[in-house]
Amino acid sequence: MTEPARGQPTEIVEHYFRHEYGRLVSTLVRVFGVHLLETIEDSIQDALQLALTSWSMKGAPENPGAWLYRVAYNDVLDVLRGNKVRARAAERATGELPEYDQPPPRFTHEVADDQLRMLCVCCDERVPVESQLVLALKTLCGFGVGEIAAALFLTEANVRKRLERARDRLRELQIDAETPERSALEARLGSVHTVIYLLFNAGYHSSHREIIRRDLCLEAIRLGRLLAEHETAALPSTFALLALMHFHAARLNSRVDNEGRLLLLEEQDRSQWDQELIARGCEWLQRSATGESFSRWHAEAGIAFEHCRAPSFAATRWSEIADLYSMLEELAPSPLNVMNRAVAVAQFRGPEAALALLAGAQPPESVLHWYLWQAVLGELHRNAGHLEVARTHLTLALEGASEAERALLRARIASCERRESER
Amino acid sequence: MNTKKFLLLFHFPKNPPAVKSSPEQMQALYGQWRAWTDKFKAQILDSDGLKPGGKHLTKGVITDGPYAESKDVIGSFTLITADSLESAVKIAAESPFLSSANAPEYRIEVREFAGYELK
Repeated sequence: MTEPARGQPTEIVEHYFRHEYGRLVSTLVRVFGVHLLETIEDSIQDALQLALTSWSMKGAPENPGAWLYRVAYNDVLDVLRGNKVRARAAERATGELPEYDQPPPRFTHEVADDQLRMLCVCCDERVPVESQLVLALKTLCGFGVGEIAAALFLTEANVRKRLERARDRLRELQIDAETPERSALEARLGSVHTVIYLLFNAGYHSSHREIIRRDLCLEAIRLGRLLAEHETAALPSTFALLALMHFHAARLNSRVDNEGRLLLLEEQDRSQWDQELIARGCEWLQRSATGESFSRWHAEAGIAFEHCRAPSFAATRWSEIADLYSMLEELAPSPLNVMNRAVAVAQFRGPEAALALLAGAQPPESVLHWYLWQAVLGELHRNAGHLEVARTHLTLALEGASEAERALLRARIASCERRESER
Repeated sequence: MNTKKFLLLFHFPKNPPAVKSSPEQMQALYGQWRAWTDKFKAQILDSDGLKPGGKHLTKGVITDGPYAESKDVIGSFTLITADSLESAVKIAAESPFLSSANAPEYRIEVREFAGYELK
């Protein structure tokens, strides 16, 4: 171990432990195999714990990543050789061990490859999607079980169960963590994009103001960039997804007021939108415009871009947005798109036209009972002056809405009552 | 003047509760420890951890450590200078050791060097 001069410890950047956790999982999975994922994670956990105690006293070594890699690598070897009694029966070594006594060298470009490979492993479509997300957060982003539970509104027991299911599945399937061929990666890219976007949304749509919310969004962008910087995944749809996430992230801070109340798009202070993120989103959007392909991410990025470029809510190009929602509906059918299109249509053709659109949609029963659907119906009816119907829908929407959203709904119900009494 | 020497002995439970800190929590704790060592760097002479295990010697018998009768073990120590036992205790109390503890067996023992000298 090289020790820096006393009083000048190596600077450990923000989130270093967490990000290094993800890098180490990715590399060690490549070296030892994904069937050892649990052992690998335990070894990294122990290595970080050792780093905490020794670096706290002596300062971090000059190359903290190499230090952690060596400690974690040797720990996995110890477990495999039976010197440590930690391995579960299912994970005990069968057959040959890696021949190195020292960990194989790890180069920067390889680490990026390793992480991309691990991302593909996490997004394997044979792993249940709810486990994919949790697995990516745990292994690639280095979040703890408690943090994941808080971010996704799950119990810790549930997070553990999902992780276990994912690990068992990966072991059963004997998935190897080899870099997929370009064609294979392209085929899997769809689910990789989806998981990244789910991760982003988990941060974006949570109404609690803890830092983790922003962290989840930034993690999703980090993983997206990992894809974009890799020749096999640098495709227009990846760029479009990145554009979308940048446009959304630019508005992150203006979505909630000082009391934690959720602000509507029309109430948001547009001067608070992060122009630098918008500019970066525009660059990604431009890069996404190469080639023939037009993915759902292109449509969604286009919509988010229209919102970002509009100088005010009133000056928004609503007809463009409505058209983009139609395109999105063709690429990725969802009642949510119809609903959003109706909201856009209401802005330039009035609430009655929007209500007609929704009446023509035939969403499944579950969507009809979904609080957001009810909230939109309520608001459209309120604007159309059908106050009694509006109240019914808004009241139904209360169930299932978050605390911040409920406050908003109650205010609208009150306004209906006021206007009814004025009649 | 800080003429006296003290040994801060950090006692850990022998069987610590199996709480896994997240990497983010570990980094936060690392930051607190660095802030502590920075603040008192003029007074901290040395620090180190002790490997678990070891041996225990009694008359005629050598056993594997840690000492079976005790609930905790010394996991690490810090050697400091301070002008009095009180200020040494203050330094110990400011360390993140106890605030990060998740079991009552965590404790810091502060002992002053006797400073034996041959005149």
